[in-house]
Amino acid sequence: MNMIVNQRVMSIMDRSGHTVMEWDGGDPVAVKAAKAKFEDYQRRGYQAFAIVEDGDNEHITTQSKGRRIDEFDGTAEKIMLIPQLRGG
Amino acid sequence: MPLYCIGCTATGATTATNGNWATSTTNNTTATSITTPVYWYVPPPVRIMTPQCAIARPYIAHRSAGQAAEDELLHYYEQEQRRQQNDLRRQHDQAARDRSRELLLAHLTPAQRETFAKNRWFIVEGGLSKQRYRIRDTGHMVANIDVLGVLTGDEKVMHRLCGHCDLNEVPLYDQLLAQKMMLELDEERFLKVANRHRVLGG
Repeated sequence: MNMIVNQRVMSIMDRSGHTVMEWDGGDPVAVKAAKAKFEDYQRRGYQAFAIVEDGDNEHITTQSKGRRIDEFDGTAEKIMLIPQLRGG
Repeated sequence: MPLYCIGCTATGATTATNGNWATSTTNNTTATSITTPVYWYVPPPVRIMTPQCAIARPYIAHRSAGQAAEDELLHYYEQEQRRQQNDLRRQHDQAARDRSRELLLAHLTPAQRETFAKNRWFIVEGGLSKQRYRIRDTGHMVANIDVLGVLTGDEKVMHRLCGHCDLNEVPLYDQLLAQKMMLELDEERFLKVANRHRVLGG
């Protein structure tokens, strides 16, 4: 069974609900691909947050912990990409 | 009541009206009679356009004089927004909505999940100000965030916020999650972007 030791996840909100990209944080090629995708969405106006989940594998148990990031952070376990918000 | 935009009309034109709203104007001063629609446009903040000498001048309805009329216009404007957003929302298929709902639920605390399941809303705390916000699932994104009273500690809605992603981009529940994350992790930026809606009748 293959297990990714340094698993990283990037969730991208889109019309399908969201798209998930996973990669091995220890694989330079995979990290480069993830970074390229991150920057592509950034250019399209998406906003990025590095999320720190405090809870079990399915749900968080406290308020979201994390921070907004303006550059790809390969050490973040989970990144969420959100389309730009505007006033309505 | 439809929305229209006012336009300039030539001197000598006659104007058909529907109550206080001009709906068309006919220019009989030229060789041929030309009837053109007259449009009124009511963008936020509410400005009521009135014709004077066939040239429209905007004025802001004063609370003391036109409060009821302004409320009616705001109500209609919000209704129109909701209708358009509901049309857009129906475009997202059920699978996408279910998927976005799963993502949202995975990012709610147990307390938030409970109120969301029971009342279709959940409370978040602003990351910077600790202000309490109530994010409501109303089926649309028009002013769905209540800014709750702080000093008294009750749940009185002081005003509402409206800020969301492009409705063509993401389904409803992703929108709610995006609002939650922005308020908790980048509150200042969200408040700069979101429009403030006052509570009608208040």
